[in-house]
Amino acid sequence: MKDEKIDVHFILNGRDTTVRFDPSLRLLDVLREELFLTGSKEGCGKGECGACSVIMNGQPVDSCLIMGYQAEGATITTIEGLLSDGELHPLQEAFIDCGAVQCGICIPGMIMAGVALLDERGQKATAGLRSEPAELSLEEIKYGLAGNLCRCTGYVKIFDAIRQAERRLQADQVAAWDSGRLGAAQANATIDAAARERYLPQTLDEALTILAQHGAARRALAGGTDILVKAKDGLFPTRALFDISAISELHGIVDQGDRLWIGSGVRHGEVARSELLRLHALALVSACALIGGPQIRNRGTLGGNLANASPAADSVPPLYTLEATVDIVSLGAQRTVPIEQFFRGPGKSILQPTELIRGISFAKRPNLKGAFMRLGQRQAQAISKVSLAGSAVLEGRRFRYLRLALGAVAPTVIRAPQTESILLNDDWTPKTLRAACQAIKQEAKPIDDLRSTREYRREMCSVLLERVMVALTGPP
Amino acid sequence: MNIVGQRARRPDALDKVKGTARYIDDMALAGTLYAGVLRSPHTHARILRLDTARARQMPGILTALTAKDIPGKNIIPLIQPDQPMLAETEVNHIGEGIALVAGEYRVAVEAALAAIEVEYEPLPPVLTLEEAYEQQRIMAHWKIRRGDVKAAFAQAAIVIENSYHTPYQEHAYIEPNGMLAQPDGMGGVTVHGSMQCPFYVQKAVASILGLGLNQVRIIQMVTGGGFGGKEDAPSVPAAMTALLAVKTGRPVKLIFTREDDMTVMSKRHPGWIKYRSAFTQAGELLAVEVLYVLDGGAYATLSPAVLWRGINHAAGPYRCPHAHVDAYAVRTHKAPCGAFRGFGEPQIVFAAESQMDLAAEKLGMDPLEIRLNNALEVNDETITGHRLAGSVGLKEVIRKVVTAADWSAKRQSYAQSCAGSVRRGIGLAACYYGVGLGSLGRFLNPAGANVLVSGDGSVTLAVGTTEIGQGMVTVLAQIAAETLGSPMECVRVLPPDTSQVPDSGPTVASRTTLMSGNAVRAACLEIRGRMKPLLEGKSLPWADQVRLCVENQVHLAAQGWATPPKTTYDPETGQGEVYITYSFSANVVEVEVNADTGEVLVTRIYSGHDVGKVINPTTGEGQIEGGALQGLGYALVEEHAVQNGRIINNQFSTYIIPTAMDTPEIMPIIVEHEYAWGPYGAKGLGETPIIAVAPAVTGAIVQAVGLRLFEIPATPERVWQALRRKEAG
Repeated sequence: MKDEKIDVHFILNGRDTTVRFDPSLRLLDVLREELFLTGSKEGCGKGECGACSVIMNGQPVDSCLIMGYQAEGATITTIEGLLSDGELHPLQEAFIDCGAVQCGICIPGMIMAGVALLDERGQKATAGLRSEPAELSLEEIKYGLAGNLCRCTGYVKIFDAIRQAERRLQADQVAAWDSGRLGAAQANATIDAAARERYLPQTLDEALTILAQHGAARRALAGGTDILVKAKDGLFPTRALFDISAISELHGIVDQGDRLWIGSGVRHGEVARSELLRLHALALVSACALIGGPQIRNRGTLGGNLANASPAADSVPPLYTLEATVDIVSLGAQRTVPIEQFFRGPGKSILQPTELIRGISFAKRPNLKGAFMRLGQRQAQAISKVSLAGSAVLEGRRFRYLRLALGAVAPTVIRAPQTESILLNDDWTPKTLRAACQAIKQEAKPIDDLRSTREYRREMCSVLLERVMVALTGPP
Repeated sequence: MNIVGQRARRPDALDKVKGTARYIDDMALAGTLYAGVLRSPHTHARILRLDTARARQMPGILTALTAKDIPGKNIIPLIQPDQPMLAETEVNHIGEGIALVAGEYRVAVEAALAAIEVEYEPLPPVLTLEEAYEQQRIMAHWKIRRGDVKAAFAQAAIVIENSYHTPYQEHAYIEPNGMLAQPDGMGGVTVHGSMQCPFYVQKAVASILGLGLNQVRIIQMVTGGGFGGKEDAPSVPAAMTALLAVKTGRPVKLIFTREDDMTVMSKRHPGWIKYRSAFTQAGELLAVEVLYVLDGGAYATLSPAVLWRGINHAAGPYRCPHAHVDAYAVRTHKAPCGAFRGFGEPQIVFAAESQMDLAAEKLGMDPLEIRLNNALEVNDETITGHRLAGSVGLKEVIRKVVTAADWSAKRQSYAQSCAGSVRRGIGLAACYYGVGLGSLGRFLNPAGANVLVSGDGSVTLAVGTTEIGQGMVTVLAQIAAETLGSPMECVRVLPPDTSQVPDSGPTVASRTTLMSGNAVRAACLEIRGRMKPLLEGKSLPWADQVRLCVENQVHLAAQGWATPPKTTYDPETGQGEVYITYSFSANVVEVEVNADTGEVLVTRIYSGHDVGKVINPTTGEGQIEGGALQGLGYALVEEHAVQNGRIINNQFSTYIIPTAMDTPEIMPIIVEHEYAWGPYGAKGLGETPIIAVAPAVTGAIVQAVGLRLFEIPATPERVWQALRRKEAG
């Protein structure tokens, strides 16, 4: 299969497009080198700078963290597709008017992220979820652009440009420019048979068959936000990868009555936006809303976050506090393990090369509150130095349920059982909180690394505990 | 004036928002080969054996080269002849190039690099600034001997003495370095690339290939950020690709990965400053005694010049009658440090401004008062004994920023709110910046411009300085239109091409508006002068003016040449009129410090600048906002982690720069004290915005939590540690 190319079909800037390319190419390479659309830029190749942002199925994504074949069936808009009959998009106009452009290398990606933000805002307004004419707040703008680094402008005039475009879109009564519009012609071409067999399994069985046949020589790829970074560092060849995003069995957030089930392919952004999860897993929703920037949240999956087995993974501590179980499958077999037994160390889990995570599930608890707090090196796109999730049911002054889990202070995410029992066994008072704050420092086993120090991390556990407890229940 | 001073739109913005602007990686030529560089894994080692025979034979590989294949001199020509393009016998830092490969495919190049056989004998490295200073591994030394320092300290009411440390800073331009070289078919070579200084690149390529300057043509592509990082450093990849192109007869492209870029390309020098200041009881700065040491890395590159600018501004923008300063750049076995916005000033200004705050504190004065007491004014002398004849807007800048910030009220109210977890503080710092290269770089100082008015009234400018995002194209088009009397829309600024204009020096030192602006203006004045007799008494639209002149055979093209006023310098005393003029700046910064976590949140930056004359307020504000945020990164988060001489945070996930969510409110303030020799009175603005941010931040932290940091960045860990030590007594 060394030199074999594959056909991939997608809708690109409103046109049905079929491209034949080497399966080791990323979407960014396909755009730039096969289609000569060089507006998307490569600043890092690791999903950090956002210069390669495109809009895929209505959401901004980093095209450097998507394998070319993952675009199969997708609707993609690049900076080149923003012009409409030669006219600039109002946001492009606004970038010029506001002086938001300097060296320009980040600008195509920044504009794509901005267009997605304005689209989302427009769609919400149309759906009545957002009251007109309330404008995007500065915080919303910053959050929407947090996945795009700019080193020239200090972002100030970029914020101005977003606001100006928003006003113009409103004034002109232009329904926010809908990137989905360009996708009106559904890509319904049949998937290339070779591509399907090697890179694009469409069912769980097809994916598990690949793993059963090749074991560790192949690796499942979903969001790609970790695995493609490792591939770029040469840890394994991109040809080993295959995409499991299209497998419907891995998707969905399902209310099973007494339990909730989340497919492993559910993305952080979906979690963050889910009303159902907000009701039953607030800690998880809060954590997923803090991961990366928009582009990373729109790609990274819950299953991927587990499989990557980082002790700093933000989605994991909340799952500990929900006492989630991990639903693992291989060809002809399946097993369910409590999440605390899933991880074995940094980058290590019990997942076998022939297995996939199908989903995660946890019991619904009435009146469950949840919170997630973390400290990072900056406000967005930060890997946690230390994180703490809490889920709790408080009745009167007593906790009926309380689970706390710490991230980035041990080889895996850990629960804080001593601290929990102090809080569970006594009334919720300032004194209990003080005792708990002391206890949690003893439960953390942090190390020194690039992001922080052992001592700092240990002490911050108690600061985060106070914040989490106050967020869960209000002050004692 | 109709056009100068207006918020004209950037002519380069349209292509940039459409994604059609062409950066080097967007350029494709048929038959282009990929270049690969074999880099040293050692900080310091002898090369015992280097064999490319096997690599040369590999499929898809056209050539594999070492230093032996260099036809000219294996030296990057700059200040000192110490840096080879490819290491020959010894490697001196991790990532130093030792061999080159060109091949048809990326994978082939990777495989060939792996097939090059190298044997090293590791040698003991010197890895820290302190070690290098102790061993006197000095690559440059400058001094100031001014007044009678001993006597001044003897009569001082107070003496403040401290030691300061500042970190590496990465430029973190979003476009990595890249070059594409091709043989020109006439025995020469043409190189396109991302760069600030085409003429540096030209000299390097010519010298390494043994070609005449007229055989080496350098064209700047649209460049995705520089900040000093693309001043001299691009000469190395340019020469590498040029050598490969000449040897293979094919176009050769080299685009850096982010990791390679951060590992080997230049960065801001880590600094160590021992600073003693003497003040009178009235808060008058009497004298400074300073030791300023920069970690230059393995090769001198621009370190002597960076150090020189630092020492010339060692006391900050204040009168300082007595000074004894020694500045050293020392040699370590790490990647060379070089130019970075501010160019040796941010390090020493962090120390100098902290000293000012400490003196104020000791004397019971307001940080504002002590600065106003000492601020340079017209007819005052700088630390180099330069008597300032005019264009000194420092006091107005300081007054404007403190007024905008409501300094006194906030200073008072924040002082009373020092309980609870989140505590607020406000800080002030000022700086000045000698515009242009000064007497040390005087041979590079002139700039040229060719201006061509075509028969349809369109105007073409060719200049030798570069657009790197700062707004040069816009500003020069405004100056040309203003001077010619044409609409700005008629003016097109060509990409810099060394074959089209005289060597105009580098695009650095906040000199571009001043130098290229004057050259453009001179050429336009000449053309206007030739047009004038025909237009006497007529009021015609521009296009008709041009038509009339063309019909009358008027020569509508001219070359402008700007040579700056004389500067002086005495290396024994460090005294002289070292720069032609100075820009002045002050920042007020507001912070919220979380005493539990040590997190410092900067909420507002009021950033004021005397720029002489602002040619375009929008691009001017852009420089201020961007510089302020880059300065904020320097103050709060940015630093390189180095283990055994290896930079371990060499990507954007680990080298942290501010995101949109880290951006405070930034209030740019522009003050205009016109500079007589400047085009329409303009001085320079590129660098002042970054210089005095860090000391304003640390000054604000002092008010918030009563803690003075002598080392930046003010990371939560560092602030929290210091708070704990303070509480422990």
